[in-house]
Amino acid sequence: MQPFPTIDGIRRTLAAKAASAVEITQAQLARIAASDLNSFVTVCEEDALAAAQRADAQIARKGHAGLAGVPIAHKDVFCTAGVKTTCASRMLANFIAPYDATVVTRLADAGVVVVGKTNMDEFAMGSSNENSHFGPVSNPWDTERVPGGSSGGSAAAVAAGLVPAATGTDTGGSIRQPAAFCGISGLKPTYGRVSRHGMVAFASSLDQGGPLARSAADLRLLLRHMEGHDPLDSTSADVEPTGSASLAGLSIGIPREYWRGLDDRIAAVIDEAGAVLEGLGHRRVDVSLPHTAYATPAYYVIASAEASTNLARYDGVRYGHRADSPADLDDLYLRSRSEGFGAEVKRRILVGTYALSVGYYDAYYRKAQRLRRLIRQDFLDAFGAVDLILTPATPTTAFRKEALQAVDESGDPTAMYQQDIYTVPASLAGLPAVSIPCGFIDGLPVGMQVIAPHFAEDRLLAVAEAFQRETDWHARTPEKS
Amino acid sequence: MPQSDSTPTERRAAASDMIDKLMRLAALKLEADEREMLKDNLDRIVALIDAMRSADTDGIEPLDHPLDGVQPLRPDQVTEDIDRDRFQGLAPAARDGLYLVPRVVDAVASAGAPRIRSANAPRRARPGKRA
Repeated sequence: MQPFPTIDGIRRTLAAKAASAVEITQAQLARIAASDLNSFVTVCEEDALAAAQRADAQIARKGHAGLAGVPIAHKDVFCTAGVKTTCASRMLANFIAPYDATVVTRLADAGVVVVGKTNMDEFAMGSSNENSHFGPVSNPWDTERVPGGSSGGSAAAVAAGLVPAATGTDTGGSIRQPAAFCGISGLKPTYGRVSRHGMVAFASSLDQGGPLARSAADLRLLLRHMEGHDPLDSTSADVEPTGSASLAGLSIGIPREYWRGLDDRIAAVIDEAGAVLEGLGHRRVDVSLPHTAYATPAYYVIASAEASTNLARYDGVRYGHRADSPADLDDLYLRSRSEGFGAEVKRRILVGTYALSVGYYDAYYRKAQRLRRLIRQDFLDAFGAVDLILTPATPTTAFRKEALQAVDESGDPTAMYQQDIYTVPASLAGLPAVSIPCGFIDGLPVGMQVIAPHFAEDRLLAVAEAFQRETDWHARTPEKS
Repeated sequence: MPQSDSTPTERRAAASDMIDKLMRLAALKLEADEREMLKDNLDRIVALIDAMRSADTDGIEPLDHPLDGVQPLRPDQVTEDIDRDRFQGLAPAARDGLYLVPRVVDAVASAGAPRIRSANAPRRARPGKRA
C-alpha cells in the first residue's frame, strides 16, 4: 500500500467524495510547511486553496474528470503568470512572467491545483541541486545527501510526500537522475513531445519538460495533460498523443558499454531488474552503442554552446537583475550578469563561448554535432533489433552534499558532469527515457533507465507499469518523512 | 591563437590564456579569485571535451536537431498583440515606452555625428538599434 497518495489514488478519493480537493490541498500544504528539505522556492497557499475550491465546485457539478483537484508543483523553470519564476537564480529572483508556459496552461485546464514552485539548480545546470541561489535541497532518504538535479526540488518534494507529482525538465538527465536518487519515477519524453513554450531555455535542442511522480501510471496521467503540438513552440512535434501499447514478449537491449566500469552493486541491482523483466516474458539481448564514451564531452559542448547563446538575453535592461548605479552601459551589462549568475552558470557560459569562438568552432561545436549524429545512429541501429534498452540511471546512489562541488581552484567540475554519463546519450538522440526505482543500496534508492525509440512512450510506460505491478520499490517511502 | 589543429595541451593552455577574452565575449566580469577558479575549471573541462578528438567523424554531417527536423513555417499573419506596457513593467527601468540605460551618446556636438561612448557595447544598444 502507498503511504503517500498517488494521483490515481487522489482521483479515486475525489470521485468517491471521500475527501474534498480543499482538504487534500490543505493536507499537502501542511506537509510542505512542516518540511525542512528546502524543496520549494515559492509556496502558493492562497492560489492553491482557491484552485481547490474551483475543483470541488466542478466535481460537484459534473463529477470528477481529468486531474481536477490533484495538487502538483511546478519546477521553477516554468513561467507562471502572477507567481515568481526564478530559475533558482539571483538573475530572476524577483521575475514574474507575463504569461503561463504551455505546460502550466494545459495542466491548469486539466484541473490541477498548483501548490508551489520547486527549487532547482540555477537555470537547470547541475546534478545535485547545490547550484541554487535559494540554497541546496536535501534528499529525504538522507538529508546529508543531495536529491540530484537539476529537478532536485521536484524529486525531493514527491519522494517526501509533499506533493504526489511535480513537473521537471531534462536537458541531460535532470528528471531521470533526481528521480533515481529520490526513489521515484521520472519521464523525459521524446524531444518535441512536450511544448517548451514558457520553459526558460537552457539548451534548446535538448531541453524537454516531463513529469516526476510516484508511479509510472501517474507519469502516464500527467503526460496525457502535458503533451501535444503547440504552435507557440516551433520545435514541438505534431504527432499522435501517447496511447497504450501491446506488451507481448519484447526484446530489451542491454548495451554492453554501460556496464564497463559500472559499480558492482549498481550492476547487480540493474541485472536483478532485468531478470524481473524476463519473468514478465521479455527477453534480454546484448546490444552495442559504440559511441557512448563520446556522449558526455559532446553533450557539454553542445549544451554549453546553446546556454551561452540563450543566456545572452540577461542584460539587466529588459528584465531580471540590474546592477546598482552603473557607470556606463558596459558596466551595466557586465555587473548585472556577473552579479546575477552563479559560478556553474558562468562556467558553462565561458565553455560555450570558447566552443563557439573563432578557431574552435569546428574542433568543438561541429565535432560535437557530428558525434551527436553517430550517437543517435547507434540507438537507431540498436532499435532495429530490440524494442527497448535497459541501463542504470546513475553511476552511484545519492552522494553527500559538497562531495562533488568545485568550490575552489582545486575543484574539478567534471566530476559532477560524470553523474550524467548514462542519461546524456538518450538526450543527445532526442529519445524518451524513464527512470524508475528498482532497488536499494545502503538504504538509498537505485534507479533503472529504460529508453525507447522516438515517440514510443506508450511502450516505455507499459513496461514500467508492468514492472511496478511486479515489484514494490516505487511504493517505499523514506522513514523520516 | 592556436587553431583547431593544435594539440590538446596547447589548446588547454590557450583556454587559460583566453579567459579574459572569453569574459569579454560573454560580457562577464570576474573578481580575481573567481577568475582564477574558473580558469582552472576551464582547463579541466577542456580536457574532458578534448576526448572527442579520438573519434573518427570524417564525412559525418553535423546534427542540429535531434529528430533531424526542420523549422516549420507558419502563415505570415499577426497572431498576437504585444502589450508594451505589460512587458516593460518587468524592466528594472523604463519610461515613456523606452527602456532606460546609462547614457551611451555624448550630448550632440555642434557638428558631426554623435560620439558613442562605449566601444564594446553590443550593436543593438547603439543609437537607432534600440533594444
